[in-house]
Amino acid sequence: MVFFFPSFFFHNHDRELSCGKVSKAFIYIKKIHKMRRVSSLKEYNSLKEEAGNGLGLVVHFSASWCEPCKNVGSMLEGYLSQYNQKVLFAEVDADLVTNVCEAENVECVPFIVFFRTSSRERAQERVADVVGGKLDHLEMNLVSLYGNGHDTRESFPDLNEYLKYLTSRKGVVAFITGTPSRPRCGFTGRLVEIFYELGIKFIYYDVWASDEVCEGLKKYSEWPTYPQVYVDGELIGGYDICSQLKESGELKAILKH
Amino acid sequence: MVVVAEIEARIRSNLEPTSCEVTAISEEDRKYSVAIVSHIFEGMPLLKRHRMVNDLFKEELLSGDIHALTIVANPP
Repeated sequence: MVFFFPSFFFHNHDRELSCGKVSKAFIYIKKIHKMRRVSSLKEYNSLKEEAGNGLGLVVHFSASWCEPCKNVGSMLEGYLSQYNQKVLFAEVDADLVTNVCEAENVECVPFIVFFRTSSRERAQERVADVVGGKLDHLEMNLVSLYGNGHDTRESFPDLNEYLKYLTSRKGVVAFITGTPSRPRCGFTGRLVEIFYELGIKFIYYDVWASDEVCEGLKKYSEWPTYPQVYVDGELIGGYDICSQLKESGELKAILKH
Repeated sequence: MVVVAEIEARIRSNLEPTSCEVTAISEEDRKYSVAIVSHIFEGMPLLKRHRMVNDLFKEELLSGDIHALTIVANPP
């Protein structure tokens, strides 16, 4: 982010005013890297609009008396510098800002909502939820939805390079329709259930986020449907294959390799 | 529009199955299930078997005439 000072700033001889300007600038710089504490519905809606400049928004619904909320808060704070305003992080005190809880249909804490900036209208699309303080699910959704903050499509020279990168990330990568907590297809939901049942750690890519990826990956992988499951860059197959490998007792070993 | 009979005919003429069962999981949602037993699959990895079946319906799967094909493909 670039800050432009008014031209008169450098000609101003009033030291007190100069200090004031500098102080305000530094306060502003520090402010934007903090967790945003939301205090009203109006402020919340403004924040959602602001998130349209980046990849998305993560909202942590918490309460002062809630012990697991402290762990969630600490973990999310740890991601602030990595995403550096490309992803906004906000906290809502559920006891104090009840109208935001009502607006988002949140009834317990901790509750973490993930929004993604829609590529079509820059609006915030609610795409995933984590109910409770499941830190591993928090991490899975952060990495899956926002990458490392720098590995968006624009950083790659062409689609094939991007697809190669997405599929070759370490471990299990599942290309699905929707997300684990908000699947858009029965096969996606059932696949995720298999992973959870076997305790398989994975990240996902929601192909609904990009028509280019959705259509391009079918050609790249020569596999015409979703889900598609990869391990260290190797296509394992779709839901059918994973289901059959699970029945034969082979899936866990294959996905762990 | 794809019909069960057409799916079965294409499998039979390409994969020489000893048994072939095709059912419409949901005609409206264009989801079908195929269970194929064929010597062709002997020694063949699961992924390759599924890809072989998918390839028969590549156009329909890409165009959306078939949304999902649930496949069981085994040697005798």
